[in-house]
Amino acid sequence: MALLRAILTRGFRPAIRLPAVGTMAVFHVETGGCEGCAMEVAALDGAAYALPRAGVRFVTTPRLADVLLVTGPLTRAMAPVLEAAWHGMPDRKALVAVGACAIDGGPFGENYAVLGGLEGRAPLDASIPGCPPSPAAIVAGLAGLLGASEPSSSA
Amino acid sequence: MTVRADADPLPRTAAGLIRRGEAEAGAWRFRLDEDGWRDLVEALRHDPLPFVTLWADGRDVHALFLDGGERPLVASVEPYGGRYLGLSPVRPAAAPFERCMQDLWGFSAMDARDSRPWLDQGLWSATWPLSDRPGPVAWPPEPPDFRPVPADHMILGSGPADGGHHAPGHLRLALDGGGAVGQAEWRLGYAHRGVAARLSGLDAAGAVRLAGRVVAGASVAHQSALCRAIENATGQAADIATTRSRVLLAEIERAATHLLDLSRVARPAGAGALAAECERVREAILERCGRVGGHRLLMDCVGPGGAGDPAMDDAAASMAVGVADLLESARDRLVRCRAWPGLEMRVAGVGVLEQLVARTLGVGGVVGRASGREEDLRRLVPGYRREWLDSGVRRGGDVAARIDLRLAELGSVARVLRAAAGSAPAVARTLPGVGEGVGCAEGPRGAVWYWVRILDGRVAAAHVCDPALAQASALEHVLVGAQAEDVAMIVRSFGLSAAGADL
Ligand code: SF4
Repeated sequence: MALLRAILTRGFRPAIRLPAVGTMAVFHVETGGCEGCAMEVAALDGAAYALPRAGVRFVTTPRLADVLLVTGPLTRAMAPVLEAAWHGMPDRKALVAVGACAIDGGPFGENYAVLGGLEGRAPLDASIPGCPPSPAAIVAGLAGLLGASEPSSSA
Repeated sequence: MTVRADADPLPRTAAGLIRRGEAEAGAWRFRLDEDGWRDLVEALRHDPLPFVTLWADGRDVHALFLDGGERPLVASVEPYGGRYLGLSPVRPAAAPFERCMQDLWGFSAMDARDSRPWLDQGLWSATWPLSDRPGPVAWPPEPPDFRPVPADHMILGSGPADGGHHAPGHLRLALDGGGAVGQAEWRLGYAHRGVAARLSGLDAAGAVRLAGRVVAGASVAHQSALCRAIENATGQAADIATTRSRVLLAEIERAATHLLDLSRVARPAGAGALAAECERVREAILERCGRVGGHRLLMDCVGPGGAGDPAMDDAAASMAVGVADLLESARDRLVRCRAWPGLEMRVAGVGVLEQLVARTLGVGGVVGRASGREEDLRRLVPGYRREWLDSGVRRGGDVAARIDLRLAELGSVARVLRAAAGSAPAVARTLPGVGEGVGCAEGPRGAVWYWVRILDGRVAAAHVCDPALAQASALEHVLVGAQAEDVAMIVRSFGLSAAGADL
């Protein structure tokens, strides 16, 4: 956890080298937004932030995931897909909404094709606001999930 | 049948046939009756008039063409009993639009090449949700209607949730015994949010804010194209400072999205160093945009004309200098990473998009240019000079060409940023507003088009066209014959965003 905090307090540094800490396996589902939030999550997964080195791994199947990370408003077409991913995860799992869309629909509230955000629809373990939130804010939100108390200046 | 003596002789060109209709918006949108539309479709069989996009507004069906390759020209027809003569037999690029219109409005294209649903998977709250009379939904939904595949092929599906950081889409491959793709088909619609419907009722500023959130990798392009459409509708052109900052922001976005798409293709191609370098340079650009411009992805940075924003113009100029510096200093390292010998072997000759297929299916942008098409809307956008737009790289239409063209365009972005920052751009001519307008932008992945109808300062109807739709249909051709393990790399080399295809 100290290492996650290190990313936050030092701000952006290209390719910060971090030894592994306790791991968190994250399955990311984009449920129909503009991809802005998804791109900021991707940045964390890439060389610029190298979050996997801090112990947060992105996995390609829900069966290996501890955290279901959702970006974008929940479209009606993605609702069954998201539900299947959630049920495919082992127990002791967490649900995280990243960005305005995933939280309450943001610019894409309920209509014929969209249900809206997850808030009020599913118990959220963390919501990370922003349109989109910065990678640093997403890291802060994930760190909060591990029970760390973050210095408020870092959010 | 009697022929009126004073009737005009039937024009031979498709554009001439459109202009024979009744002018409804300036001198660029004309209403045709059923016979006029049929004559037009017939003429398009031989006339090369470039087709851009097709949409409906609840009452009419509209088709946008580019007369002479540069002047927007729209033909409108009112469907009779919900049916109109489809354009896809003569313009295959119209096929996905016809399918979307069927799903959203229930207008069916007669003689269409394909009439299966495209967006609607049966999970919406209504069928034909945008029509006057939306219909009930059948439960359970119909299973997907995929094209038949040969019995000895193995089916391999991926998405819509594969753990990747991209918009949802399902790709279904039929593989032969040797692991080569025999048939590829998308199932899309997962990311459909009803953007066109949401634009209706918004004021100009609100509509542009939403347009910035249609496709994040082309946020500036969508904002600018809508602004130009609104300015075209209201007869209020952008001033010099706004024209210039739109060019600067568009080029910064081009660099950031090219770097993203390069890293996305470099990883599956095994070029980790190239991917990492692209990710670092991109992050440095985004960080600067966030710090100086107030938004890392340049959302809310473009506003409709008349409402000039001097603070944003200064920020754009300052970001432009910084981004040009970053790109110039990164250039040598990017070239070295590209020269890694293993990479050429993986990408050369793979995923070839033939020029003819690109043209037939309406694929432009980097992908079209990498296939040898001279397609760059920047020549129509105020603020650019033709001499800025060259790249001079090979155009074999394969993954390698798409990588090389993006790298070359990073160099030209730096040049345009320096040239544009110091020039006084020509601004658009102000035309009298007729309440309707068309606007375009050359986004990082290709042409973005908007059509709007404005009533009392608010959007009454709108259409959005993103390059992703054409790319998705082109990929179904390109993937045939590819090895299964190359599929992810080929798809990413297109920079396809399902968010733009589904809207
Ligand atoms: S919250 Fe904003 S950036 Fe994120 S997906 Fe929604 S519109 Fe895009």
